[in-house]
Amino acid sequence: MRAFEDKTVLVVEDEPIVAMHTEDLLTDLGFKTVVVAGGVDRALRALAASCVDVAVLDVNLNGEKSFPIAEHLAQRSIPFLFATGYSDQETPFPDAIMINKPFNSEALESGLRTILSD
Amino acid sequence: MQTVEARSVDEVSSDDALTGLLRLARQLFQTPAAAFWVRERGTERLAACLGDEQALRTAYDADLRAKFEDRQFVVLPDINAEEDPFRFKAGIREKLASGLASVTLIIADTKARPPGIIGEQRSAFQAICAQAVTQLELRHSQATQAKMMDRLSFFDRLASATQELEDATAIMRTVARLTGEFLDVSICAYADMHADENGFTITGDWTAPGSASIVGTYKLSDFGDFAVSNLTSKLPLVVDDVIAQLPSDAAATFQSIGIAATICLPLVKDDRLIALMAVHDARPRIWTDAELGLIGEVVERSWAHIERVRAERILRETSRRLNAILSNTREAVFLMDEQQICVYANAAAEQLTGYSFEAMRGRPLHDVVHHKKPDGSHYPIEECPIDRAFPERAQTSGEELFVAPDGSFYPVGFTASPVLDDEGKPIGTVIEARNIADEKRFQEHQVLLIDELNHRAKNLLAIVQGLVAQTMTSSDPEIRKALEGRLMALAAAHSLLTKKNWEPAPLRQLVQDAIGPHVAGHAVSMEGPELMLPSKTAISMVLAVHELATNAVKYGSLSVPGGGVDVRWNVEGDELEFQWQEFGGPPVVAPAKRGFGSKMLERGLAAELDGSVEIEFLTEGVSCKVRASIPRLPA
Repeated sequence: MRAFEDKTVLVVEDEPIVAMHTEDLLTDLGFKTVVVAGGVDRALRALAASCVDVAVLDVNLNGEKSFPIAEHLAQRSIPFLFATGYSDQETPFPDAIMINKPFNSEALESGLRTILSD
Repeated sequence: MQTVEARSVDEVSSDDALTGLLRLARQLFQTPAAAFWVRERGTERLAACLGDEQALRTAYDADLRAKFEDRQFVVLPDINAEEDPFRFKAGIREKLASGLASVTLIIADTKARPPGIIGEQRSAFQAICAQAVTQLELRHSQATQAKMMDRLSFFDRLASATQELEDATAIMRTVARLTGEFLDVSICAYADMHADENGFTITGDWTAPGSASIVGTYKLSDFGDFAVSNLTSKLPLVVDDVIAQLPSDAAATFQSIGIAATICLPLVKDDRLIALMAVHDARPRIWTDAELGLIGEVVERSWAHIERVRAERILRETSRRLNAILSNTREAVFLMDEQQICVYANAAAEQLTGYSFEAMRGRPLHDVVHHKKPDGSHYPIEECPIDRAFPERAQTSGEELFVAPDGSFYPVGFTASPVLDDEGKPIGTVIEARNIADEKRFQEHQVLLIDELNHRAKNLLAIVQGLVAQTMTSSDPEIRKALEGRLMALAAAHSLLTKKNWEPAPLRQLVQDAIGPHVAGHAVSMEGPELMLPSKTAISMVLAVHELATNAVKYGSLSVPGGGVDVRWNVEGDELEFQWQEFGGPPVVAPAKRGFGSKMLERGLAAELDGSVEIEFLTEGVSCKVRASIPRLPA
């Protein structure tokens, strides 16, 4: 778990229970700080306020897409992955890693390791 | 002399012109008797005479007739024969221009005339006979003309009486009446032949006053071999006198229905005798060629007329039906000719395109409704899949965008079918099309809806997962893990099915997905035919395999290095036989109490699959046999 120990991770998820669970999983995986945002605006504000190393983005946030956040992260070269409940979800980021909801700790860890090692 | 004069009065009254010529001859040659004989159609008659008619008939004997066979001018100046009433006879024979008739002029005297007829007398004699020929020729041509006029006016009457008729029976009834009256026969009848070409039914007839109808069913063979052989060889049957010309049994058949003379004509179609038309006379009658010709023409015209009205009626009915279909269908139908020019468009086509048929007629349909692509660029007809049906002679179907009169686009589903002539050459295209905008919207909506539902189901599973995690923080991590594993397996199966829109899923993939997370570093073999499982069966199978795999990881063959699983399945009829066999694990000890996994498998799954599940805790490895009936899927 060493890879995550000094890192701050941003979780963008509009469903509070899923957000809480994801937060727990990430804490268990050893992240130093987990920042949770429920929408695009709050996520962008969080990004401006804190130094984020990696992000887990739900694609659909209450009808709004999380792509502007991804755009922002890509510009700043912050690795991210998408989590989605849609099958065949298309994003403007063809190379982005996509994990299916619901996901377990193993899937989350493996996705994060992949993007952080790039 | 008195008697001769007296007799001659009758003759004059019967043939003015010829008698006048005889008077001239008698004066010129000073003979008491003179006569004209006319030979026509093989019979010779006394056409006019002056003097003793009986004596003249006796004098024009076989001997004298025979003499005219060799030469045209005969003079017997001094006859010494007891039986001959005359001592002098002279004659001349001239043929009519047609060659079919001749006139013989005879003069006779009771006294001998040794010098005979000489010099100028001879040419005067010839001139008088020539006059008679001219006279007869004139009459012939007048008679012929009159007959032709008669015939023409008959056909004229026939045509005007039948032209408005559209029913075969009405046509034949009128034809029979007019023909019977015109030919002055006793019966004019028409009949349909039966399929055996022997039986026939006279369906109608016209009868002259005094003759009885002969409507009824008969056998051609009863009318004799002559009738059968003529009619079946498409030849007319012509009998002047049935008693004289036919065997007695055949004649008896004719007589039994009051027929003494007949002309019967066959109608042959496709080499089959299908109908008859006949004129009959109650008395023997010598049918003339003109009569035979006339009835032949009547029959030909009538049957042609009937055929025509029948064809017209069929055509009218067909076109009425087609019109009913084409005007009422909601499918737009266009017909293109071999140049791909629009020659027909139905009401639905006008409604679909927003153009009237008149606006489309004479132009390629492509130029009217399909000339540009959605990006506004020109759409060349050569690239158009609709118009490809014609050159490729194959039906094509698909979806295209048509251009509305206002320039907007609308989606259509089309089928273009080439129209082939009898030789298989394409001569046009039938295009059916319908606006599929609503259908498309509905489909898109449905896809969105299904997608949203799938998404929500997944989110719900994620929330349940979160709730479990939050609720069970203080519980046994083993239990938490087991629950999470089951939730994940359910989600994975769900995911696979949503990807395929809840269509049947392949068993191999399902098994692989379910055991994938657990088998790293272990020997796993899978063997079985390709098999698509309906979604409900698929989910049950995935949950079952997940239970087996997690159990194997915990206690069974997947809990030690070197252990493995052998998965195989087979399909027989509607039954799936699936077997899970562990090997290489630690010796198996049957659990004292059945856990949730076993129960779910043996009870839940068995019920779900409408089959049986049997778990055996064999020492060498856990074995699970699943039998499930699978509904047959359409190929």
